[in-house]
Amino acid sequence: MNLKSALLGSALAAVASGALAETVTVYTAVPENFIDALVPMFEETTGNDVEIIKAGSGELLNRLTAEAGSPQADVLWSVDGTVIDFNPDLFEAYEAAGSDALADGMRQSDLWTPFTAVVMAFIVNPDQLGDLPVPDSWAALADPQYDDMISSARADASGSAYIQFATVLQAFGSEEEGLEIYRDMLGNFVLSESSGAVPRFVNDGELAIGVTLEDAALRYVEGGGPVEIVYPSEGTAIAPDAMALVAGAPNADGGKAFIDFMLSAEAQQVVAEQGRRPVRSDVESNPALVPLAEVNSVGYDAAWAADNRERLVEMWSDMVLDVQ
Amino acid sequence: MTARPLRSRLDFWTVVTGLVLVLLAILLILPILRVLMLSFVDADTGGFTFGNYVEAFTRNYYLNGFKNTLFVGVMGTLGASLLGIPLAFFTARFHVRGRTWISTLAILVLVAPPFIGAYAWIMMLGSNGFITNFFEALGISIPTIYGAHGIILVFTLKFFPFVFLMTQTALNAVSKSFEDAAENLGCTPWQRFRKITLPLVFPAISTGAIICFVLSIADFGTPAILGRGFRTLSTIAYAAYRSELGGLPTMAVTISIIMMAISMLALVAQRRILARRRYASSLTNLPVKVRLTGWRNVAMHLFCHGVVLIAMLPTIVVVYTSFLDTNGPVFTGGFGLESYRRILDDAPTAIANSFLFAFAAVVLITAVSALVSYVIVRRETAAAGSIDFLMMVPYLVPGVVMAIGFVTTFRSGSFNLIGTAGLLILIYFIRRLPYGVRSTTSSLRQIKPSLEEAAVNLGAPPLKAFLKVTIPLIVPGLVVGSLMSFITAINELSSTLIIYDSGTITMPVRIYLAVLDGEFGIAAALSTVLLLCTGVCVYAVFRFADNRDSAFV
Repeated sequence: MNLKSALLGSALAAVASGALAETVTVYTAVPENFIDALVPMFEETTGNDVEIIKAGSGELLNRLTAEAGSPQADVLWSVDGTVIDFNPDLFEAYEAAGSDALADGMRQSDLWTPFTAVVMAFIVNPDQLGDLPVPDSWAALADPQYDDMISSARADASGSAYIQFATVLQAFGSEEEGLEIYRDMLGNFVLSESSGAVPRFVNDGELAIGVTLEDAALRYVEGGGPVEIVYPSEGTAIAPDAMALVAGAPNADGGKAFIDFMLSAEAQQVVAEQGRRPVRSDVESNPALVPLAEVNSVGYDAAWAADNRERLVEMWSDMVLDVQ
Repeated sequence: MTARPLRSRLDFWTVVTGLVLVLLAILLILPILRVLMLSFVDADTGGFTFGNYVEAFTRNYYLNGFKNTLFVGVMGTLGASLLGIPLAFFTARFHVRGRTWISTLAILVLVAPPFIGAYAWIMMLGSNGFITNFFEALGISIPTIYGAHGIILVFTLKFFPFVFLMTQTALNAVSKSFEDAAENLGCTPWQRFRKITLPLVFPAISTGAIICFVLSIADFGTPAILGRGFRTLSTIAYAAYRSELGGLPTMAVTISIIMMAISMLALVAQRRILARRRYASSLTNLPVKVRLTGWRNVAMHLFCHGVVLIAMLPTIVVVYTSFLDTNGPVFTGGFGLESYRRILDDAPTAIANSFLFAFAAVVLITAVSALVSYVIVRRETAAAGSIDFLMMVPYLVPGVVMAIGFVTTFRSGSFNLIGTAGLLILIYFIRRLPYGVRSTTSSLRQIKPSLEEAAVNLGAPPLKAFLKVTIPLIVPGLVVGSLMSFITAINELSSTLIIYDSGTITMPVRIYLAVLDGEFGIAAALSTVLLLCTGVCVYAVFRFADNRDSAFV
């Protein structure tokens, strides 16, 4: 390779993209399959180029905070909405085209637009359970018989693991009661560095149970893995995950177009194909999944989860030192 | 060097020495000091505090991490030495069939891409690994890879080549006269080995062992994946850095500084031990290789080939996995190129970036290491001595620390002009510079200064003498050093992960992200591509290097 021409080329490219500002920079925690399916569609429809930075929502937030003086990103795509509500200065309110088609209960904040509805579930590999029964409730996961058999991400680094933690706190009579159950669950957990690896470990038979997202589990079920999806009987979270415009975005128009596209009926159709619940009332869920009406919901209170985020994560971090 | 008039001391090389010191001050010392300062900052108030260190040395969570780190570090180093020293002894003292093959595999183990190896071990020895299941089918229950013993096993097999290659090089340089004398005085072979040979090669063994120790302590991927409840300082630091609440990463930095201090102490201890025992040995009588017979010969061959083959297993599993057919994330059992098809779209950018950044860094490394090694070897000034010492520092600083230092130093204030690509090139440059300097320095030490002096006496200015006389003589050292830096730069993950932004993603980062998503097929395909790139470079080193083994450590 000719270094000089390569350097020159990338310098020119940098100048060009600055001048035309047609590149949309997206920070995201979404799984790879959504990027593969949706981003090329967006690029084709709108003619924009998309640059993706993919990381855990914690890392993304660290980046956004560090760059607050001169923002590099246009959109934060697919993170737990509480992360956005918790850092209002980093984002700019935007009402996406098509917001009127949202299903009931999906619009929870002016700051962000829902992208999909995430349903929390267990992925279970019965072969690895031995003689133990398939757990069908949060309380069952707290049973010491499942010690070191349950894969989970860290609630201080993964948005979905935080939702799971907040769900358990809401699923029982009081927060204290939920906390007691969660403490015992945490004692049984094998903590994974990423939420994406949780269903992988269960599918590969390294662990028997995983607390994960319904769509992540579905990909392994559809792929023919030896796993099944179980919904906790006390109820689970059906929580919208969020996308938001970054305050001072270098290409705000491109960012808005990106959000509009992700809410469109055709993009939401792809969302359904990938196993997530669409947020539009006019798009059906993936037929391979249990209809949403049959899933017991705790009526996940995202506002409460956002308001109590700092306290709860500190509580979690402290708890982990004791029980792990 | 003879005394010279004052005027010539302020010559070209004095200026170069000054410039190199300034460069190291900005790119090495300043970022490290910034990180050091951060560890004394209270994350809540922003004021000065010793609280982070107090917390690190009083809370059980951190103290356990501290103990665990030392435990796996020491045991991993011990394991690596137990494999590396006999392997070096056998290949240096006896006729071993396929010696080149053994060295090649050992080097490939060294340059294999990071992170994916631990997952390959899970596929083999995890709860549902194929080796575990194989023994299960035979009715034998073997322990799984998870926990301290698994981490130690992986460290042992991953880092033994350092001990092996360094010891082998040293053994080849031990004069046979010493060993003959011992034998004539009635020593048994074992006594001779323990009393004569081992002390003579101890400097090389201990240097290899120190490298193992430093790398074991800094290794994040292996304990993160295989540790389960077993935490080391590196996993604790990383978890602290990734925490979602934002704010200053003071605790992550404090833990990293403690890791650095451990490495630094180990290095200082090794240097003190070495300073007390120095053996000079002139190579007048080359060692002769002995031909073993019978069961000893078979056992030795089994050991030598067994060690390198087992160490290569993770790499083989990764390449094999990349050719498995997938349905979404699930392996369906057949073979196919689905994983490669899925990386076709965005892998080219990552590959181009990896090559561009590594190449640009290596151009800088080559130029600077030629100058630096001249200063170190030919100018015995205090400044030259301190440059020599500073060249050790990048080995000891974990990539995360360097990256946090770079970001806090160069992403603010007057330095903010450097783009992300520039920042990545500079961090590769400073972190891999020692490889170039090391190789060039040893090359230059073998060349007498009289040639350059002749050129200067004939009226050539110092720069011209350097370019026309010195450089052509040290080209082999420069080439090997550059390739070494290139291989290690193209596999860099820990600092890139913190610095990269849109448009500057590299291959190791892509692999890491695929692994996090549980997309092992994609990760394996990307790793195979990176492995191929690295393999080509290893081959190139072989073509250029005089002593192929020592070029890599």
